[in-house]
Amino acid sequence: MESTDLGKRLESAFVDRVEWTARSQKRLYVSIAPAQLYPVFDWLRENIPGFRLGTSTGIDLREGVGVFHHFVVNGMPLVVTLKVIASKPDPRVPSLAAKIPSARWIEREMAEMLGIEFEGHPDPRRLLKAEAFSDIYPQRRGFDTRAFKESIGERLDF
Amino acid sequence: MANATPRVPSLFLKALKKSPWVFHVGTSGCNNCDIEIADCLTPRYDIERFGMKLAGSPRHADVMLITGPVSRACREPLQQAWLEMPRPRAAVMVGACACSMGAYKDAYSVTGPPDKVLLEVDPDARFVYVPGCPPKPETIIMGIVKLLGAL
Amino acid sequence: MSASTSNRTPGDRRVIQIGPFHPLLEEPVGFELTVEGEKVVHVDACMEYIHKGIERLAQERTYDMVPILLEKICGICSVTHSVCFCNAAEDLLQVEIPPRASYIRTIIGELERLHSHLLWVGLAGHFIGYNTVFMWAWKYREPVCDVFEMLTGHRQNSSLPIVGGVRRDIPESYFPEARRAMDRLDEQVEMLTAAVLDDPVLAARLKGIGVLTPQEVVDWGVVGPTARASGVDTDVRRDEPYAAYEELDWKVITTENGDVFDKAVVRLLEIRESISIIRQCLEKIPGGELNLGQQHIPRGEGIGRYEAPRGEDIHYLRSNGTNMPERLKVRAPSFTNVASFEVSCIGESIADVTITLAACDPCYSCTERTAVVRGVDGRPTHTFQDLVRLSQDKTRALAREMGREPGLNLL
Repeated sequence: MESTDLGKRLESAFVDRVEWTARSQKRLYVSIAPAQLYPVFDWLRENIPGFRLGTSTGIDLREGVGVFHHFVVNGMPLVVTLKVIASKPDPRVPSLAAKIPSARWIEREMAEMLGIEFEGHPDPRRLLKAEAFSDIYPQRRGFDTRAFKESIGERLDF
Repeated sequence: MANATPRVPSLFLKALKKSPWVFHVGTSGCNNCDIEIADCLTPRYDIERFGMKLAGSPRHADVMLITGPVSRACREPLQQAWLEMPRPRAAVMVGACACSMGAYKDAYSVTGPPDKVLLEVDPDARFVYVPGCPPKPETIIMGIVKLLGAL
Repeated sequence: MSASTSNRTPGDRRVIQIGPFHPLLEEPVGFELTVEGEKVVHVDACMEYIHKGIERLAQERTYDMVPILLEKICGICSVTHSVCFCNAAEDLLQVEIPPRASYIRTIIGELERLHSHLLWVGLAGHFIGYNTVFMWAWKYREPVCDVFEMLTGHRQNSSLPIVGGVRRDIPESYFPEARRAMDRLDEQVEMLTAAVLDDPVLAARLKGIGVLTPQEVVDWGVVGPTARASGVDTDVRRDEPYAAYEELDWKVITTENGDVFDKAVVRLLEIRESISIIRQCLEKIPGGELNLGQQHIPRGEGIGRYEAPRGEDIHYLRSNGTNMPERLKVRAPSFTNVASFEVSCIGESIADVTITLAACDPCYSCTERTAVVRGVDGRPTHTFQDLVRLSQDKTRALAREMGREPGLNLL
């Protein structure tokens, strides 16, 4: 299956609700609203055999906090990226972990790195529990390692 | 390194040099040095021919091998393990990260190289540095042997 | 101290904290097992301490520096992460690398797979009390590191891959010696494979333990040999060929049962495949350019995939047109494989936990975390050694029942 075909099929199934670009025949990027995450994911899982979550990227963009779920297909050179953008300053997106267990850890990590709240996550504890990081989000824009280390009274040079 | 602790009886020191027990601590490194340390045990390098033995607990060890920079959360466990070691004790910093934090110097989650972390709790702590990323097993063995020569 | 000495009543649930520092484990590992009698009912991984913030670090480095930094994610997968990053950047640029560079990447990638799999076989042997296997496998691993050093100048960290090719050439004068090393290794691994597969104690000990069903594999996103042992036919080298894999003759190994024994079988057979791939590469490697020269990375995004020794590695790269990545997401294979312990360990007895945990070849540096050293608030703390000892005792008991003395040489 090539990315443009899949993009067209997605578009006909979700008229006006998805926006896709294919950077090559192997990579499909689909932008959706947070509310469309579950229906689009269900459609993809039903229609593509061997469809599984590769990983997710949390990214702090100008327009909001992005959660990009990268899906791969066993036996096929295809990566489908579902892009969901949550608005700042209090980003909330639906949790994919409620649907598939492989999203559990990565969503816990993103919550910690960027301060995203995943609604409906079955196990929303911190994954990297080092306490100095609570309320500090190292992947946010404007995070400054030097300022952070100074703020907790650590030495910078050795 | 040069001034050995005078309290230690010479017989004890002699025995120690013949058979140092080594405890290995990985403090958030990339595990490559840790593998090279395990490699020292295997048939080609076989550190046991020097009487060295990897100990399972710091309380049984004479020498601590430390790999990796110290992450914020590893800091206290490392200090605690060091204080549990009986005297005379010394540490070998294995690899670039343990010597100088290497590639992780600017990372937000590391707090310092292990020698500085240990000096906070024990100003008398003595170290040998084995640079390399990772150092070859021969180099690690040479580091420990040099340490024994200096004790 | 062993699990059976702690005083408990049947049906009583309690938490065992594995607070590990084991000389034979390459890294500290921590798990909280909730047990009911001897059966494990819940596993929680203790993820702390090893987080190095390497993604953030990579976002503060230039594109030439990033592959070298990424080698330091994990000592065993050093080629994996740097090539995977290059795959992502080349996906962003939509360029093909020169053929000689793709062969060099294949050779170093397969050498890495060889030494990683041999390392796993050794550790697995140690966990179940076959220290002879540990010593053998690690002895056979040394020539692989030697070949790596001959070809790249370093035992593990080659620093060869850069965006658009490789940094340096590998010297052809060492190819005959590399071929001879592969021939010797092939014989040795054949012997090792036969010894492991024919051993009735090993079969009794490992079959039916830590089973993952194909559905669980897909649900938990398990990858690599761990998935292939359950019959899920996935291998990035074939699914989305990078480097020179398309031009080579090799096959993907799959087995059906999904237990620890099958995971060992998959790895042992993959070693033979890797040897064959390296031999073909040494024969077929073409001449020509090594890289495309300095690349300007424009705005955009790319995704790289790579089949690491432990499974599929994914990097997501986003560039804003400057000389540093805007965002680099690294997902190492162990990140999903380790998470699957929550299903594979449930219902096993404590003695089988170590080998079940080890079966997916967990790499905690890749997963960016480590574990606690000491037990907290008086909860019973088992060191990893205690669990290894339990596991080894079980093998011993089995061997005695079968009237065999498997040459147990416990450390």
